[in-house]
Amino acid sequence: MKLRTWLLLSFVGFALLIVVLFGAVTYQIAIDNQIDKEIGLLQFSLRNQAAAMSTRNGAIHWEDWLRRAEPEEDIYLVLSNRKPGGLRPTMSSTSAIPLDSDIYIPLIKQISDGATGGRTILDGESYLWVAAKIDSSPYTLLTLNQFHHYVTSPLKTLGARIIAAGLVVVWIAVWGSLIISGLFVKRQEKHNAAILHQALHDELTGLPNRNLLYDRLQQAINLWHRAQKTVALLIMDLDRFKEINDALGHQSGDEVLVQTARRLREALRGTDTVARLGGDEFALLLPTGDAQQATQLANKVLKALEPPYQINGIAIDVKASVGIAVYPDHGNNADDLIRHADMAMYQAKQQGSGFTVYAAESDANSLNRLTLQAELRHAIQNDKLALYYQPQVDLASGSVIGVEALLRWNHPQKGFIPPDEFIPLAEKSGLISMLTELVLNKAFHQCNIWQQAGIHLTIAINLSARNLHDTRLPSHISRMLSALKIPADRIHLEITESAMMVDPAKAKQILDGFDDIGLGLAIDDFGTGYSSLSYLKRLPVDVIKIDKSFVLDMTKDENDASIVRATIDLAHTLGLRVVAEGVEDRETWSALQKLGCDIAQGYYISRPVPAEELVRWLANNNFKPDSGKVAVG
Amino acid sequence: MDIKKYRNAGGIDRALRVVIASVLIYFGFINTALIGQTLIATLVGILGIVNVLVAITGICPIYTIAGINTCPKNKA
Repeated sequence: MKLRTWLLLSFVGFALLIVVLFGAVTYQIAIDNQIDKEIGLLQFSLRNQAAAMSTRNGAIHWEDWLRRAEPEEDIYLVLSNRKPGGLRPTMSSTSAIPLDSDIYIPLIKQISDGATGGRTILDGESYLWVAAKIDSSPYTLLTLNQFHHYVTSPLKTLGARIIAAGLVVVWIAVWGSLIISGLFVKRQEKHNAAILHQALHDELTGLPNRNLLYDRLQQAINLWHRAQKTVALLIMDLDRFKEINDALGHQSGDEVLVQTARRLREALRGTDTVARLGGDEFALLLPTGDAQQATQLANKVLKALEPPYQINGIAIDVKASVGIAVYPDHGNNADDLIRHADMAMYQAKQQGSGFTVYAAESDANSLNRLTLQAELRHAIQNDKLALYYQPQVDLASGSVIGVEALLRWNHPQKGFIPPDEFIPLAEKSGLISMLTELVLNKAFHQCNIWQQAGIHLTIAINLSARNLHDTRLPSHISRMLSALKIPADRIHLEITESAMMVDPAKAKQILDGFDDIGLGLAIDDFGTGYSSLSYLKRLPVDVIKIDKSFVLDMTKDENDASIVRATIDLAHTLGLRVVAEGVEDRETWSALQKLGCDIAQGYYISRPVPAEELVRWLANNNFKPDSGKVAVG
Repeated sequence: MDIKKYRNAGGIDRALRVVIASVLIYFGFINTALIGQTLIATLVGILGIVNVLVAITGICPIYTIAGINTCPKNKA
């Protein structure tokens, strides 16, 4: 609107300017024409008079002639050159200006130069003048006619035409401004519509984006209040999409998304919305759907994704998990519904069930988990996790040879949270690499500090199964070791059997990497997993840690004792050392000693303690097995 | 006919146009002496006729292009 007003005003202003300019010029030209014509006429009549006078052969009676003139309209002057100094007025009709006035001088000069007519201003008054020499006499006739007699008529005739033409021009200018502003506004609207489309749609797939879905969900919810039709929201996430992206490249990943979008669109009715929420997450909205329709659709969608995708000539199987939430059963507003459908989707993903309808009872769990996950991230970032160290003692000599570093999370509200609760969470949520980094950092720095204090202990660090996918880990550790000047054999890495079995080939590759650096490697929790002898042979392992479930009851349970004995024998045969975990009393200690076990670790010796406490414990002559004293810092 | 669908000039607009058109046609074709020039007078007269047409049909092509509508809103 503002643009239109502006355009209208400028166009009309421009048109008016043109009209006024042309009007002024035309008016000027008309007046000049008129004056030229008038002067011509005056010259003609004056020459006739002069000619008539000259025929009298100089014998003219000036007084008679002047009397015949019309005194009110014109001034007649007779100029004579009889006196010295050239022409000058010698006689006049009615001029109020004295004949000897200087006012005439410029005019007389023009006449002397040969001019015969024109415009001039005398004593503030505008005149047309004409001069004619009377032949064969020393006289020249000059008439001065007041200018305003000749100006009024052109104004009258021109005025109406200029106004009429101006009206037409202004009218056309208004048309022009309206047409241009109209076209401009239309273009602007088209542009705005394009921007709006861009703001509400996903660029890659062309599907509505999160904003638009949110809006439509809101509308559908509003509709429920009038029509009482439930609203079903399905959130779908592709399984293992990251792997596709990593293995085949982002372009192929994008292609998978585009094909998924197409399949989803084909599976849906026109009134339903399919949106891409970001990444590999899609949402389907049934504005008038219930849980049953939603599950039907989920089945249909999962079926539609079943045929292998053709990506650059490679057939790829893509599976998805769908979470379903229905308004108003599963949430009071759009945010809740999205969140709950999301949770149901994660549940479906975990269970591998394809799709799940949101259930309130599982929510408490997932909410807890999500909260804990956020808190864990916070704890890692703010250094709220601590490393505790549990001593490992040589069974033969009774001296402390090393420690196992154990991660402790002291939650401000929930208190101590055991690692077997938050480590799996970290593995699932991708926090594990941050966590590993933190543990390595702390342990290595501690090792460095002890070394400088003259305390030479090995530190055993637990690695997660996920760490065995990280091929950069060996070189990373190597760099840290050399930066802190720690001998590689000071560091032992403990890996559980089951972690190695996830991807044995990859695990071997990485363990070989550790071995090349010279790190000690231990198999943790031995006996609880596959206990594969072939891997035991092939992997560069130095130490076997017998799981504490066998050690705890070995003095009471004959089977456990046999397993411990067999494991120790097996390890020694393969040239490996054995650590027994969970040594909690003197009997177990003695039994292990008898079986020839190398190293013991457990509450009998010490519980895991912070670094400072451990130093104090070491200084207090620590552990004396024979006295049976358990040092508790 | 759904001529009403395209109607974009309202009652006051059309009445005003009739008044203006009458003046324009008067000076354009009937009393040409005032303007005195045939071309300009004819143009003025044509403007008048155009306005009469708009007033009769209620459709102004310029309005259509510019997206203006002077019809009362509840009737449109």
